[in-house]
Amino acid sequence: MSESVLEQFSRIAAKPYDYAREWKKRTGGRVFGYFCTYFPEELLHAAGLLPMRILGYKENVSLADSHAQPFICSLVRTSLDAALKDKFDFLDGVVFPHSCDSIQNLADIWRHNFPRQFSEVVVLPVWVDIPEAEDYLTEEISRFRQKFEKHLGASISDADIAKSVGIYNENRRALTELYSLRRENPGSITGKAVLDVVRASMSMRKEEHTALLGKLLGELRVAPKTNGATVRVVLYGNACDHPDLMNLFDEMDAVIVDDDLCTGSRYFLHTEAVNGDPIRKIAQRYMKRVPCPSKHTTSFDRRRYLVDMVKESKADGVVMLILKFCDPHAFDYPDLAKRLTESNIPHLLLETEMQPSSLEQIRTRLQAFVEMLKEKKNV
Amino acid sequence: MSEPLFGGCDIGSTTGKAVLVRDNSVIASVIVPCLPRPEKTAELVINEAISQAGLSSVKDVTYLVGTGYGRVRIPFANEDISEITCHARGASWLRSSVRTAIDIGGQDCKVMGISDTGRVREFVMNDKCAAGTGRFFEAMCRVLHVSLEDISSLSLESKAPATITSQCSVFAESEVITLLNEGVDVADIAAGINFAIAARLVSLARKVGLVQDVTVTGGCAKNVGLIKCLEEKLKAAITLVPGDPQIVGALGAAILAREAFARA
Repeated sequence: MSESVLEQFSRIAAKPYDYAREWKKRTGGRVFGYFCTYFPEELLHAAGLLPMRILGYKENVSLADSHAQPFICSLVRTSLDAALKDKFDFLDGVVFPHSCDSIQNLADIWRHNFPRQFSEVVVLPVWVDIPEAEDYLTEEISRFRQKFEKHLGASISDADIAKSVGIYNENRRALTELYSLRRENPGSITGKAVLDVVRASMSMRKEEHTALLGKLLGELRVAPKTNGATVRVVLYGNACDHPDLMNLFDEMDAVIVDDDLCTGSRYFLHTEAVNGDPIRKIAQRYMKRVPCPSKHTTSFDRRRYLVDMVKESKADGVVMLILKFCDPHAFDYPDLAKRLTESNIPHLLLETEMQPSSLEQIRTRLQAFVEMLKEKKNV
Repeated sequence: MSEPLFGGCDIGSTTGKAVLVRDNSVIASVIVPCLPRPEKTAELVINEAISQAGLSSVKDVTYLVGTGYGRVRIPFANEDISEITCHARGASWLRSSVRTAIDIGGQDCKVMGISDTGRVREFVMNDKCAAGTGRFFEAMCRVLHVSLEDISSLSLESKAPATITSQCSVFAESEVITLLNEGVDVADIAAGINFAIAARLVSLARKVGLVQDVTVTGGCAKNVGLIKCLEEKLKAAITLVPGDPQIVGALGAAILAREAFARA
């Protein structure tokens, strides 16, 4: 039997690095890893590369702790560990945006250990909604472009970059539609499957992903309405790449209706029209997208954003999936939790790690939370 | 035909508990140490409860809810409910004025905010490590060569509780060994252990907020020294539920079994 569209997405999401190896073999192209979605991956795409998000490695850490303290997030820790174990031998280059201190310092450790590999840091502005930030980022991306072109020994035209921005926008719009179809009919696709689709988008050439996603959207547009599940949940947090954890929601009859996750909607929400200087367009998008908690803005209030998301998606509660030792998310947590409580929205914090860990305590918490939501709904 | 019989079976990390309820009263309650397999613990504890109630078979139980770590592996359970929901229900059934329950089990601890209808309003659970739980006490007892009961009574005798700084049970064990080698009195170390655990629970409890009545459930609630330390650290009175605090989860499961049966 041939693989269904969802099975393909899930396979790639579960083993993105295998996909990269296979893509390389198939096309003879080059693969670059990037460490945070604030990296202007459109530039890599324009040069014909496969930009792929490095999102940790699902194996216990044995080498990384000789190079960095263990109290950094497991995304950085397991990625470094995997690199030291030669698991990323397929990467032709690695690029780091300065999103948080851990990624910044990972860049330095990486350079010391893999001196022959192309690697570069793009220093992003922290305060993103001031005009100076846009000018600065436009210059910084241009600086990276020059260095990257020198490495390639070829120049990338503005037209090619604009074309890639267009291809990325098309993918962003398709993912946005996936989310709106899910909001309308959350029983039609599992929460795990939706995150798999987004995870696959971070790993595949965008044209290929959009084509596959188009088939899925076609199926979802005509999917029969289901209203089996009793509890509706919004997810918030950073990197959620835990198929087993996501399966628990299904097991407990809770549907995911929307998310504000780094590996979810934050990856694709907001597009900038392709006109004018494409580098500036990339910079503008990065200024206007739903910000990561590591960014500072004066106009965006995540507390209100989350409360609105819950109301608009008619959710019963919020599950916060936070990677342990992610400082930006951890510092925001008490404030977000307080506002949700004040808004009478039940919430649950689940700390996660990239490497394999026991699911039992998470099961107990999630089950109790779902029982609580069901009880609240019945009353 | 006699009145329906409801059961709760709580297979925890350290002990298995079973409670049988009929006509709004507990007719059997049993605690056994865990066997390596949760299924076996469940069978052992329910059979003892069945014989305590003077019955012949688990088939006499009309409806049974499983809870605890082994809850999905109880072969005779009609459904499973998390121990958080069960402890809250059990505590509130035993004392309807309870609004906050702190459950200190063998492997983890939870703080539950309870509504006036006996439902979980909010809860928090400890981190992955076993510091601040029954396992922690067991490890300390091994080092001190005392029983769990001794920790409680020794702690009450202490005039100058020792300071144990580590949050981790493995490191705390090394700290206790250091204290012993320094010649610190065992009673002071016992009190230090109780204070260290109380301090951890306070930060957990503050996340939920303390509303009176506050109660403590789970096996560790039998440690009177710990309860005293907790009251001091929480700056709040603790009202224990009547009877054995260790069976509150299983009791809650039995009460929820009765409610589920009534709904069906």
